[in-house]
Amino acid sequence: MKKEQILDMIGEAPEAYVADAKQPKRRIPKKWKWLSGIAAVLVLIMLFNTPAIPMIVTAKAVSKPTASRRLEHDDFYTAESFDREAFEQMTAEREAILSRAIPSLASFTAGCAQTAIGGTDAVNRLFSPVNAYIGLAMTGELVSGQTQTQILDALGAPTTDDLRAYVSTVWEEVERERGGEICSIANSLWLDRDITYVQKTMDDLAYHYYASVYEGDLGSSRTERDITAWMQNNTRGMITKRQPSGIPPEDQLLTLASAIFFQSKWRDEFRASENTTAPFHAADGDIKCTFMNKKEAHMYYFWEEDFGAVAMGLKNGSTMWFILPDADKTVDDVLDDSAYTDVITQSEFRSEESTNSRYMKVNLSVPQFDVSSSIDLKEALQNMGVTDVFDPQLSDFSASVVSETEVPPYIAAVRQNVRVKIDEKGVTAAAYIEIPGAGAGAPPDEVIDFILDRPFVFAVTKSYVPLFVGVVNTPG
Amino acid sequence: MKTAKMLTDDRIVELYWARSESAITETAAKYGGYCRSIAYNILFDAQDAEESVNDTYLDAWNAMPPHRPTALSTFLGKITRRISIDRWRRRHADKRGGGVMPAVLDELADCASPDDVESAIEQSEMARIITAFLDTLPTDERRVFLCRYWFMEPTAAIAKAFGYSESKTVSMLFRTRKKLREILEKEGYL
Repeated sequence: MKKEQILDMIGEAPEAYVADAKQPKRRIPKKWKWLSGIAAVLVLIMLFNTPAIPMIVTAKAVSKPTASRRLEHDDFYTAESFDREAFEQMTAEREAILSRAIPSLASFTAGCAQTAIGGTDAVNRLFSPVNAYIGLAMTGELVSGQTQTQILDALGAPTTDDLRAYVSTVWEEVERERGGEICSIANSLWLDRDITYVQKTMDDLAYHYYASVYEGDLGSSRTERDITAWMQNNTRGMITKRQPSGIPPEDQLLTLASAIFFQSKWRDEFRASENTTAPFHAADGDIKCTFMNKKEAHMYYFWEEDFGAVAMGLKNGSTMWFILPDADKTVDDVLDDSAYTDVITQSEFRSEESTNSRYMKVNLSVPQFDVSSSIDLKEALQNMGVTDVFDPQLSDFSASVVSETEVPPYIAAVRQNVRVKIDEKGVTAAAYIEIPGAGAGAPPDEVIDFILDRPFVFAVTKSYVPLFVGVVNTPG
Repeated sequence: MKTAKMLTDDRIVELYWARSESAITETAAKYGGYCRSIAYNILFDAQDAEESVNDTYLDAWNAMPPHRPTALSTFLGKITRRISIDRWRRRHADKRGGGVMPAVLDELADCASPDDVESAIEQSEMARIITAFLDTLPTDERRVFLCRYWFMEPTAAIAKAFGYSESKTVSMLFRTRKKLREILEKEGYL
């Protein structure tokens, strides 16, 4: 065999080994050499999940069930024969809708986040924009008149037809289970059996929102068990308990439940052998944290007036964003400006503008965290102008409920529980990483240090759709 | 507010499949630097490297569809590597040239037949042998080997990246080549 043939043969090395060879490498001090052997068998798993139960509509009990519809979309990845014409048409239509839907989602995210997850205390606050957006969109189908107009305005949709297109397209864009990643969104509407509802509205929900619509005796232990089972099923068993609504059974008319489950792995895993222990400067004092580190990793670095951000690739094209306020700024400064949502949703990508970003080498240090929060989005939505739906005197549910009730239907609460976990099993190496600041302004030419050792904002996006946004004030 | 163009790999692949010319633009924005570094290591000439990278985009355009790579970066890197090696061979058929290629070929002569005779071997067979060989190597040894002979990096750069001395890197590569030679002998290709 000739040496040139051997060179060609090496070119046939498996992709996984080739990609692995270009993983950021690190000087390993002699005494820690043994750890690298352990790290080779370790896997970092990212796990995100949010349980549902965002909305509960109260009034006198009534109702009956309808059928459900499952997600149906052409899967061009697994089709036996590729229909290029259909694909091109689908792609063009989808792009056109997404180019309007994603800025609306970005704006909704910025509007909600400001009230819902802001705060410079030691509390972690998280929410799922896409989950809340779809939940509110479904509510928009149940109402009429000014109540509906307020919702459409908050969601950035001119008409209900636009909103339906936005939701179903976003859904089809993110709903996936392949390539080592799971992203699953599910919605349901639970009608009390004593209610008289508008069948067409329920059919529209099932068709345009892929919602399952059920009938039951809301508030009874049996229906509560059904809803809990639905939640368990749609969160892949990760969520087993629901918070009690606190609303008397006889007052419950409708319950809208929405769930999102997301699980993925880093495209380039962290190595446990490179973990370090260092202080995290929380609002109420320093706490010791385990930091996961990457040395000279190739990634995009973004900078804006109040923050710097990096994008970490996940399997199957999703992204986790770490957004660090500048040293003299807070997470509220980041959340008060929509610049961060423009970055994470790449809103202006389509406008072909130039960039405040660079693909470069980054020394990244991220604390391990497992944070959860339970928030009521009511105040955030009210601040965005969605008010009538929460007011029994003003709410107009005539699009969905026919019967006369003693108390007009209205929304009592918009609860959202979210948990985000970055988990890495294994040994941590003792070492110390320096703490340089990563502020605004153009980054240096070569390598930048990006150390998340103070409160920061994170986001998870898939195809520019914001699945989760959160503030980590205290990693734990 | 200004932000970057950064498409997901899936979306870039979709653009190729949709025959959208923006696939090339997006590939260049995301992986241009990566491909250029591979090409430059091999060709040691900026202009040649740029031409190889442009050829890479063309090959990727022709390959997708029907191909749908699982790792776009490695897929592109592999094309760049092949094109750059071919270009290097054409341009240096009668002279040694610069860069790491002459040294790499000299080193791989350790694993080749003494008379450097060509063997009849299918591409799939090559893939099987190199995979089986790499499977036997410890992780760091495998990484060092691929950095040298897949990415064509200088030994000094590899040594620095791994925190080894250059002499240790060179001797590690020597041992690895010896193992490769043993496998090739066992398989009957030497």
